Amino acid sequence: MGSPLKKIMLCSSEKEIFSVEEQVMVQHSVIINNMIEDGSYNYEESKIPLDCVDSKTLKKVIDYCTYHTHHHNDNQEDLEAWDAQFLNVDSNGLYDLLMAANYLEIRNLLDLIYRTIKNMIKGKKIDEIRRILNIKDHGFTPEEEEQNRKEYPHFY
Amino acid sequence: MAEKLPLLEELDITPCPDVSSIALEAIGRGCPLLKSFKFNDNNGFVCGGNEEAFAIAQNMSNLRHLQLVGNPLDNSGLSAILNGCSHLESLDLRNCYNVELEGILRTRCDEQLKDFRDPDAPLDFQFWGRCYDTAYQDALYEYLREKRVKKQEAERAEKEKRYTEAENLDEANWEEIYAIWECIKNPRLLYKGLILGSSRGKKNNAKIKWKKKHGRKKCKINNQKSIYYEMEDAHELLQSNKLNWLNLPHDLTLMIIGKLTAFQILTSVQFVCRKWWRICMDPLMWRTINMCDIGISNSVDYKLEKMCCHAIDRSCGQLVDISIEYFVTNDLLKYIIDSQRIM
Repeated sequence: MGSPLKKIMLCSSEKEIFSVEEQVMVQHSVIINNMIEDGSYNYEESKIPLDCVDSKTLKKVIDYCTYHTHHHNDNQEDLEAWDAQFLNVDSNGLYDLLMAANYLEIRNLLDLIYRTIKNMIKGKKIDEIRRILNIKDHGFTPEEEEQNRKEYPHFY
Repeated sequence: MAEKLPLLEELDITPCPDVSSIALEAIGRGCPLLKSFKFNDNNGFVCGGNEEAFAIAQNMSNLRHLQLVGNPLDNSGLSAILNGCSHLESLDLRNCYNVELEGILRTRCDEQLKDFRDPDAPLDFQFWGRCYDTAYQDALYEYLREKRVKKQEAERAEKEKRYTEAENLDEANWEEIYAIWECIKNPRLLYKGLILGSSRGKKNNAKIKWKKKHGRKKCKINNQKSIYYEMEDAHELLQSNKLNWLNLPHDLTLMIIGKLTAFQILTSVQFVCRKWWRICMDPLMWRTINMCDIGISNSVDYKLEKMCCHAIDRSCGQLVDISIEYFVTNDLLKYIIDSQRIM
């Protein structure tokens, strides 16, 4: 790990460049940690290209990592309140965040998103879940769907 | 059979009078890592004399624990074992009346072994029951079971490697325990999922009690919970879905579904789409079954027992943890035991 003041460059899919404290990303993202550790990152020239993460999402991810790096001594309740506020996005945003967190391997964020989605689904009927997650093509044949509906009418 | 189990470390073939010294040799060669071996001949099936002891001494040099209750070996057999199995830590020779422990042999046993039971030591109750009440079939059955257990464990270890992240399930469990507790306090909460406004007062009450009851660590989960309930509100209102969540990578979907309870999966999640259906069929999903939160709705007869059996079937014998509340019957417990070999 380098000194906490070193900066690294992250490049979003729109080629927008974000400069972040190295410490922040290294601490949270497994993939960036590995990259820095094996010495493939050049502080003068390199930019880390994140082609599947757009600027808006990347900004949020960096916000998350920065906040959690600088506030990790705060009490748990405050952090959770902040997390809740942080994830107060529409489900497209949540999807993007999930993909980005997965790509960068940010464990805490992934876990947070998993639980959020779980709570979106929890206790819902099948049709509700399909609506919430916008699943139009469920992939069952009409016969199967028909049979399931007949067999378990109270699940729908 | 033995040749296929090179990694076997523990073997128990209690009353199998038909197992000969040749079979023991085969086991010794086939399972070089064998550390613990129980070979309790007992009864009157005296056939081998010292042959079995010699077979063990020559072929199972890595043994740590050996149990030979009621074996016909004598002093020469015992010294062969002490010579052959230099790592031996415990030896059980109860009911081996041909062994006369005197002089040098006695001191050797005491010096070399940490735990030694001489021929005159009393058999404990459990052991009697096991040796004499169970028939040969049982022993064979146990032997086969042991084999299966090993195999499954190997498979499990492999899978565990691949899905180490599934460990998060533990945490989810706590949340669910909390959810059940909360739903006992306030059934409406879970019934509709998010009737929050009117019940918040009660919820706060509940929170305080919970804190008193379970200290700091668990109350962390509690707080997250309440926050997530609020977030749920927010998401519910959003209608602007454009992305297709089905495009989510398989492992991410797996993680999300892994957070849900068995009840939720069986009643709704698995029917959402074909992809989820396939994920819900994965035995890995069913290693932990939680059937406690049945307070959700009593208005519909969910046939919980049948549902539970179904969940157990899907675990394909890999069940690690199961929690059931209220609807357990003897038949159900029997069903679980019959279908599961590792608990």
